[in-house]
Amino acid sequence: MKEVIKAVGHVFIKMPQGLLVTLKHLFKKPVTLDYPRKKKPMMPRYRGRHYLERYDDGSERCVCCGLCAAACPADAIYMEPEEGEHGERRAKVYEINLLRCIFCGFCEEACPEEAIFLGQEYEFAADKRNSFLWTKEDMLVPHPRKDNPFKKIIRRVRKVYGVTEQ
Amino acid sequence: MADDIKDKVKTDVPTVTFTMDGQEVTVAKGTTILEAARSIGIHIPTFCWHPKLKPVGSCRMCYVEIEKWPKLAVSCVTEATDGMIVHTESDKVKRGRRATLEFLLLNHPLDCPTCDQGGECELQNLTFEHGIDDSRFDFQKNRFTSDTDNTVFDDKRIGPEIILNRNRCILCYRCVRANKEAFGEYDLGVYERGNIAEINAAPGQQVNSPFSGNLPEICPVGALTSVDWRYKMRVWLAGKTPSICPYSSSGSNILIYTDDNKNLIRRVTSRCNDDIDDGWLSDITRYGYQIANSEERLQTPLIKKEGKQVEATWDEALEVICNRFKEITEKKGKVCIGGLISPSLDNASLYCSSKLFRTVFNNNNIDFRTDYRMLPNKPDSYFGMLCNRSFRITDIDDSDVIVVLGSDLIREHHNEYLRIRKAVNFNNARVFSLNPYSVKSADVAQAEIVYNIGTDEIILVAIGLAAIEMGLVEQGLAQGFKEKVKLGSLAEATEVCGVSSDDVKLVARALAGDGKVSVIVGELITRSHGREAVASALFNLSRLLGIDKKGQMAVLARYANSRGAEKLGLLPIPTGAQVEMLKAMWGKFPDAEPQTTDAMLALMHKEEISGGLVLGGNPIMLYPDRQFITEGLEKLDFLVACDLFESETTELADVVLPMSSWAEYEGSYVNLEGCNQVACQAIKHIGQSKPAFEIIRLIAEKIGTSLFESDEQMATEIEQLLSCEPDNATPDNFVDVLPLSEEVDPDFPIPLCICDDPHHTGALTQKAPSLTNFTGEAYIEMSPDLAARLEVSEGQPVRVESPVGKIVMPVKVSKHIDNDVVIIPRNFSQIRVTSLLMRKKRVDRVRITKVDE
Amino acid sequence: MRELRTEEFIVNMGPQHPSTHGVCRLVLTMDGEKIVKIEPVIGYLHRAIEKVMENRTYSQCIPMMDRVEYVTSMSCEYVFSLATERIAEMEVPERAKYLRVIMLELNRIASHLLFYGVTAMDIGALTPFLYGMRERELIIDLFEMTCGQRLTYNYIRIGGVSKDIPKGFEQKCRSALKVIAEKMSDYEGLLNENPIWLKRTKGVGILPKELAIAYGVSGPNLRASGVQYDLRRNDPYCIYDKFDFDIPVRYNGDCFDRYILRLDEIKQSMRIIYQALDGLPEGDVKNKKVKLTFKPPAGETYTRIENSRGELGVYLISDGGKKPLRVKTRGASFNHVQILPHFSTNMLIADLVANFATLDIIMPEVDR
Repeated sequence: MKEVIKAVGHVFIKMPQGLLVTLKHLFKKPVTLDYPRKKKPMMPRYRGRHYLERYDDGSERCVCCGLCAAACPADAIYMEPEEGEHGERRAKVYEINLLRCIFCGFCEEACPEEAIFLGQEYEFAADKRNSFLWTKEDMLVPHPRKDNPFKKIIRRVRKVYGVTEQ
Repeated sequence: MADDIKDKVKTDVPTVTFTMDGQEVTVAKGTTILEAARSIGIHIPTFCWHPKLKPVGSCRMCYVEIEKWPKLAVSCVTEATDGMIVHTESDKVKRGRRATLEFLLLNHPLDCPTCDQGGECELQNLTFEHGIDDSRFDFQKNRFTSDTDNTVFDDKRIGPEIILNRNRCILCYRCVRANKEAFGEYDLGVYERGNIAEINAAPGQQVNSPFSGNLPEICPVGALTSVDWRYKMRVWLAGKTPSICPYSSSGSNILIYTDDNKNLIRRVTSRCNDDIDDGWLSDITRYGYQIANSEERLQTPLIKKEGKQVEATWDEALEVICNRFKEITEKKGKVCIGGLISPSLDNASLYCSSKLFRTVFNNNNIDFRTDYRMLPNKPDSYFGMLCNRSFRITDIDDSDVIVVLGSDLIREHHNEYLRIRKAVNFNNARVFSLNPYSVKSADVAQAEIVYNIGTDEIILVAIGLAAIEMGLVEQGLAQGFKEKVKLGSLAEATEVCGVSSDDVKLVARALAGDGKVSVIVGELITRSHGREAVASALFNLSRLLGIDKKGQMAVLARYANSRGAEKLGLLPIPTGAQVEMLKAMWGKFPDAEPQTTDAMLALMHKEEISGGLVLGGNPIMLYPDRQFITEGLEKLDFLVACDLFESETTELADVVLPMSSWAEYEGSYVNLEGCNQVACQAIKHIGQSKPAFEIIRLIAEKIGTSLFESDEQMATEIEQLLSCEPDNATPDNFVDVLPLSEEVDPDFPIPLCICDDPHHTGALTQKAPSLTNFTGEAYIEMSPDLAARLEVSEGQPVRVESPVGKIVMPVKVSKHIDNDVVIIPRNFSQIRVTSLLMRKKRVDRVRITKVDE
Repeated sequence: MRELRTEEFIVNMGPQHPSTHGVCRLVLTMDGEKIVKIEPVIGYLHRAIEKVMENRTYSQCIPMMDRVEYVTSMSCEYVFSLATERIAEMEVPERAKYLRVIMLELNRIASHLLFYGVTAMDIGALTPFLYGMRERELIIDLFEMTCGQRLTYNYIRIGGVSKDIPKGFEQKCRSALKVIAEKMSDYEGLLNENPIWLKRTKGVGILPKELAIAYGVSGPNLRASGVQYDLRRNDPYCIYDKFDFDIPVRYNGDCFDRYILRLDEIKQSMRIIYQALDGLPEGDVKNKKVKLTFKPPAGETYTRIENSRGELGVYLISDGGKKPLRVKTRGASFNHVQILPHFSTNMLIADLVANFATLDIIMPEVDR
């Protein structure tokens, strides 16, 4: 008899309580996102796709020094230097294999010329393996520079010897 | 250096004993603290100090603390004295070094990302080691801008292969000192002083000595970088393979840097071997690797079909070779196949080809000396004896008297040239240069004797006569010497040679002294007709003055493996010991008539030899009678040529096989002192090319005989042959000297010498772009006097005619030449210089006329 | 009456099974519905991380360590950094130590929240999973804000942490913790008295204290069996001795205890974080001497810390070069998989799932 009373109690007291919780959630703002149509804004420090930076005059910052490739724990970066028309060193080939990349951000930290940085984008899906091999042209596209207090742009123009020229 | 010190200790030189970092050290008196530290394995950082140069103490990096000394001492110039107590790692020392580094970094631009030295920069490493993160210097750094204002990085090209960036320079003077002390060049110097002091090329000059490639290598920072390595790759990504230079007969030890992804050689640096190269490389060694990367390399076998060479597979090519050789041997017997083998190939290739000819073709038609003229068809006794003498490069270092006969060392033997400079700098050696024309490498010589061309043996006789006249030798020996000489007196001999007797007496006195002697006989003698006479004259002189007992005399082998070829029995007539050994190994040895290159070519003309194999090399370009060899090879029924590139010889060939360069397989090479060294495989085979020994073995297998049962068998047989030491034999008594003299045709009055350019060797290096940057095309080098008489100036073309041919080429005026000899380099195929030559002449003479434009 | 012929048969659970949290294969020998024998087969997630690390510089090992156990990456980074710092006898700035504690404890909470969600889901309740993930997201956002990544952080470095916390972190962290604290009552209300949950967990899969000690079980699983052992107390590292917190212990050793103990730990972790946030000093966050090609002196160490699963250790040998000579990681889950056959037999498969889930085994840590 006691059991029955308890069970009936559950039905009439506990269950409505539970349903009340469900009802409350109906009127709350959902925590989920309608993903492909709405996207979550990433934090400023987020490490997404790679970009190569240019100077304000349009020349490439990257001098192909190889430090990003040396710092890369996944051997994702391949590069070949060449001599530019003004005798400057620059990248002839600069490739990042996104299939290898682990987005650790070491390339960004290692870069002495502040040329490479990781942006906000995170959607890399593609249907061919080759499209994961990103070349210099893919990465030298215009982009919103993320506001990263620890990776401020120091130099606006190409460095010449001595004091940095602003 | 450590060995040097030990030697000094052994030979009862006074020693000093002192304490370093708690260790008791005993070294010879006069040893610096730095050298002593290195000998016991204590590392002291340095910039300006270099083991092969005299110390200057300019960088102040090698500070050590010596107790009771008020200040830190610069260890590279401080001699160790008894009872010193030295600390190399104390706090005071570290502070001192740190301060020095901070000073060096004041004006050093921090452009490591763009600098080619990054990764192997000594300044970078030491800065890292000492942990200097920040600069206290807030002002504009001193900046040198480039004269031609079109580069961003202030780089300046001061030579064909050198780029200078003065901003990076830390003024250690290593380059200037090496250039001056080791190479004897004065084209690099320090200009201005104080804050704006700079290293620069001499005004209006280019740094283009044959050793200029060493300067970027010894630069501790990126001030001097090489064009060859410019922006190619980061040094830490390169694979490193130890190897041997395939061009120098002394076998410079090199390190090959490779890009393994692309299968390319990226650069070559030295791998210091004190016994052989002393850490210096000639530019030929340094840049000659570029032929391996060349786009023009042969990729596939070619077979001539209806007069045109078409690409084929290896199977097809081998099939054709086998069939044609069989056809020829069936028709004419096996003696009718001849082989010209390049002496730059490795031991295995040379030995395999020897075995192919002697066991499969069963003849002795094989030779590797394709650029010698008039090789006798019998064992050339005295010259052969001279070749079979031992020689050690390090013995040059402590020689007191060095005689160089008939060689411009800077064009042939770069290492030995530097050794001689070292002997002069560190051992006060007296050098005598005996040449038919004044040479550049004679700048170290105490006396340079320029004798009439074609009188090489007479000058040796004159030296002997001078010694006799001065009474420096015993009467009995003098008598014996005089008997064999046709000339009665010194005056008569000097008259023939056209030299002053005072100079000859100087040489005679030096040679007759007690000091250690090195006599080096160069290529002008060995390639010429008069080699036998010179050898006999030299043996006589040696007997007279006892050169044999107090030093060494040698004919220097010319190519990377010439010595190995001799030792492996590749001469048409091997020595008796070699024949015995080969008989024992093979069970047979052909008794056919041995044929040298000349004899083989003559037989080709007679169509008695109708099958030919040219393994490497380009005989048409090098043989001293172009018409003769071309016609000979054309008359062949069937010619197989194996080479890296298409050449004049491969054009004539019925089958062309692509050969691998030395970097593509592991091979051993015997250098001129008989030292066997291994060059490791650095890159994979280019195209379908195969190593020469593999080609030979494939041909033999196709014909139906396997040369070896296994690779080990080949290795043991080679090892056995190489174990033969030179016998150092001399003739028992004075021998006849038979001078050769020729009539001079008045129409062709000017003697011509064919040499290598200082930046080229043989026929292959013209494919190396860096080397052609130094010298890209042929020239005729003559004295200013002759140029004035011909009314031509530098760069103007002249017509050079000999009885057999004529060519047109630009003039190069050389101030150091002072007689009427002209010199033409043989390394450029666009000028067919060998078509001027006649193989039967001892001295080629030409007529030069101005070309009217 | 004819006797029924019975026969044991073998069931493969996994390697792809939703409740094995990775790829673990359990070969079960069944006698009808009862499990007679369990044989865990591991290695499906082996990535040779230890070997890879031998070919990486010390700095480059940090992102590799992230992947040893990606649910609590911070602990993995931390234990490697700590080991290297011990070999190099290196000073770490005080602020970095506080930041490390904050991150480690946040990560522990995130891990336990994940446990709460997936365990309930494995056993059959879907709602807790959504709850757990919802609050975990708050913490993941904090990490993303600080170090830029949501799973493999690469944040704790040798000699400190990679970056200082951004502006607004502290306030956001406090509000996140407040939200979690509020929701804790929801969690407990949902399961603690739920009769189905109690039936599935109370008295199921009892892991005796002696067996647990004998097999090297550590962490919450050990404490749920009545052993008060926590490396933060017993072998203090970092600055844990500065904080005031309790070590929760339960004595039954059944699934329910293992579950409830983790909820208790979340509360303790929150206490630590509040204290650390209050005492956070100013200053550097990284030892400036550590460069990319940092070379510790030769030496070896075994360093262990308490992560959310138990004892996480690194055995590190340095030969003075820029790459470690040998790295061996010890993950608690490895021992927990081993113990499975010894106390999960003679029960139903459904109970085995409960056991597996409450032991909180995570396969990358087992296989490495």
